[in-house]
Amino acid sequence: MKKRFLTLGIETSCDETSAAVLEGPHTLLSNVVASQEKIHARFGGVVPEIAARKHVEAINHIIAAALEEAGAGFGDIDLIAVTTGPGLAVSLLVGISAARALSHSLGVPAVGVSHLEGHLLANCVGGAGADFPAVCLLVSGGHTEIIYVAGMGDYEPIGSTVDDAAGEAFDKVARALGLGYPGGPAIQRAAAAGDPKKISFPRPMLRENNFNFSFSGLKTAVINHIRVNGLAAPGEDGATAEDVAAAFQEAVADVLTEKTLRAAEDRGARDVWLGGGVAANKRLRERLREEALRRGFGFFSPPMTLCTDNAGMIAKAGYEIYSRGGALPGLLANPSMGLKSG
Amino acid sequence: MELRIIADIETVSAAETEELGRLIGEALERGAFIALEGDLGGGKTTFTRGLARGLGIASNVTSPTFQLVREYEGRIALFHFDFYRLETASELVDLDIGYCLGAGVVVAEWADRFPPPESDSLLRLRFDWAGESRRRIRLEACPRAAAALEKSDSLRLRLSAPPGGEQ
Repeated sequence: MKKRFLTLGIETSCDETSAAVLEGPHTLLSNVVASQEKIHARFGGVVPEIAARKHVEAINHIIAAALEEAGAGFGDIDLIAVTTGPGLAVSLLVGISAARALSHSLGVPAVGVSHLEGHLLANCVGGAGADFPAVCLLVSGGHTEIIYVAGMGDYEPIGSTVDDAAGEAFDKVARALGLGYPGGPAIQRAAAAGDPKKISFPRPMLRENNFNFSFSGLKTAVINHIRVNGLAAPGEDGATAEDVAAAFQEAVADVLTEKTLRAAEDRGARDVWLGGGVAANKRLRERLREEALRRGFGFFSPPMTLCTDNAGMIAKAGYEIYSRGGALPGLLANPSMGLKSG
Repeated sequence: MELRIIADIETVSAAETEELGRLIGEALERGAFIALEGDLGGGKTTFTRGLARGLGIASNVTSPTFQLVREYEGRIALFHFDFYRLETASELVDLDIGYCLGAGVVVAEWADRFPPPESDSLLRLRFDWAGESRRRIRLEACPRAAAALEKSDSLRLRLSAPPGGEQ
């Protein structure tokens, strides 16, 4: 008798090569991530051709490592789940090709998964914490979305950015401040030494009666400030790079928190979830958590290893899609895929 | 291809930069390639938002930085590229820029990273920061694109107007 159902998750949509093994619906046996961050730091961002080449070099080793850590062999895999979008086409294809080859040679089904559904369901790995209905704020380098989650498999996007993603704004502001890439950690580090009250940046779209965001104007406000006032050296009058970073971070956290909670109130959610790579930002996490609890919502955010890009969340989403039954979303790459897998 | 300077424009607000984009969008034909150059916060996104309006596109223009190119349906389709994260011009072939030029108008941010793709209708806009909401914009075009722009009376008026001259 076979005692466990194993899903192999594969994720190569951006600059992380990742593979994971999920046992049953909840237990993540392994979640291995090879990051290309250091490689791309030289260029100030992800370079697609390099990203794809690195995925090709890494993918087999990463899958082998994930299986080894899970104490499983290829023959133990029951299902393969792979990210088919959104992301960089050339990068997605590396993971998809691996999934196809394994699916054919092992004779097991493969399911195509939306990276966004993965981020969303990262909140449900381990079977912990998450309570429906929920409103999830999903923030990463490429996405800023508010999603209403009525139940497993029942999602509705209710707000998004009208221009730049939040993570992108962090990258661009970090670049303008000369703080390097990736921007998120760089801003957070600088902000910790700064005074957020030295300057007040606009809170874009906070007054508008919808759940959308705009970060391009905030980025421009920061750049305008730097151009007009320059950056003060420590001890000088005026705002230092650290102060600007702190004020910018505060504005972003404010807008994201307020809009998410308004959505939760509007939809009568029980829980507020936070997912995506920008969830690593301590200030945002703290603000959203405090405010959610203060207004009577539950708050849940997965551990950081499940917030940044990883295959564990893809395995989870793939497992859920598979166990719902029906036709499985195929393995065609779709760089502009939405929340719905396939 | 020879580009000549059509106008040096100064806009005094984001709304004016957007309006310039709209007027240019209205005048353009399929196959045009618009190269955008200039620093962060220079107005490239704002201009592109207007360009999309002029092409009859209703949906929001969101940043192409992450997925490298975004496509919009309109009177003429718009393909919004960001070259910032590309390393070699060969990646433009991977992104099928030739197809995009056949199917609509292509606008590219950080376009100075590579030579422009093959197109017989080229425009170049260089955005320079000239004050908190003030931008200097140099517009250059090849003869064919210049002729298309000249057909628009409202654009001709705008290009010859002094800064803030819309009021």
